[in-house]
Amino acid sequence: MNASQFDGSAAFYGGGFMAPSANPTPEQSFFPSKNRDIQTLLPLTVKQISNAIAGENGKSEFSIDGVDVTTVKIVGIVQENVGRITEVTFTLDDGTGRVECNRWCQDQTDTAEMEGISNGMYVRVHGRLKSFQGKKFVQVFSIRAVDDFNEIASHFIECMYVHFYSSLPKPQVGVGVTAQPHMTIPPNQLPGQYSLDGQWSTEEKVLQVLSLPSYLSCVQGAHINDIARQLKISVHDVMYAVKNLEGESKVYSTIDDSHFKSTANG
Amino acid sequence: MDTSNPSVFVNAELLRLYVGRQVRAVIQVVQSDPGIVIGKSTDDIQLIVKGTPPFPLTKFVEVIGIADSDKSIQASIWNNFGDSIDMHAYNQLCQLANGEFKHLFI
Repeated sequence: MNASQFDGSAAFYGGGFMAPSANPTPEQSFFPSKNRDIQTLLPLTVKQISNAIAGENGKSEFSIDGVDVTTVKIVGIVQENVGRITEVTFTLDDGTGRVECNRWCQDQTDTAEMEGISNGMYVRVHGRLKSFQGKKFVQVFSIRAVDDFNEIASHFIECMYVHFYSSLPKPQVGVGVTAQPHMTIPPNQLPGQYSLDGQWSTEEKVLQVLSLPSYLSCVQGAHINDIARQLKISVHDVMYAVKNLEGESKVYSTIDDSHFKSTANG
Repeated sequence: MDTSNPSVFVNAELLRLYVGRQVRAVIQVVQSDPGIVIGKSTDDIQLIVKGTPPFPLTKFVEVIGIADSDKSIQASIWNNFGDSIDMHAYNQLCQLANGEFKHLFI
């Protein structure tokens, strides 16, 4: 690799900011225990960060709304900006609270980016949420001055949207849940679809029944009459939902047209 | 980390709920005199902002300061937001940030 060229994946790797694409093998050897599925960029308020709890399954340090948090996006005002030779530290105040940030300046690109930043300026920060001796801070990968101030309202609206989406009941399908994106795709385009009031759709309910261990483990799966009885809905509704799920390759018929099984874990 | 002194997103209607506390509001500047700026809030009501901005103001300005009555703010920080801001979106944000999603903000 030519060292004089700026290499995005090398500059940002370790933060999950960019997926390493060119040469994944050596990158994995650096962080063998990190799970790349959870490295989504989450828009958050400082208040949410201060309320973050310890990660649930050891994959990340923090969890917010049941979502593992590593890389975060915050928009706020820079305060107490202190530049040193290899590191810049500052406090970011987004109006909901203040969080300490630090930015390592290893090469010209980093230094140039930090030189444009001063106290009182609105910035958008991308970085990794970390803690040291119980104190949370953000290790900044990218900092940009906000020049269109609609971005402030837009950021906080995005925070609310992502919180709303993450707080919906999660389908217990077993696969693919943590890998779903949290910001770019409107929920009505996701295969596991919820109605906006947070209720399960019939398809989700049927899928939940089919995900019960007793049905996953047996060869023939579940009879549609059994599903209808458990969900207290009509056989016709179950049939309709099952056809939709079959179309999405989430279930398949087994011994006859009345028995179905989930494609997850099976 | 410190979340003890948030500045709450407010419009004129919400301002009265936070008298004595730190707030932030976007206003459209109507008149700017030494020590006092008169502006329109995102919900189109006149607000008085006390204090002298350290630089010339653009059409839209964010002020952060203490709400000292239901119609006035004692400003400590001024941020120029330029000459075009979606005031409707900002007003909706004020309402959501004080309603359903209040726990994400204060």
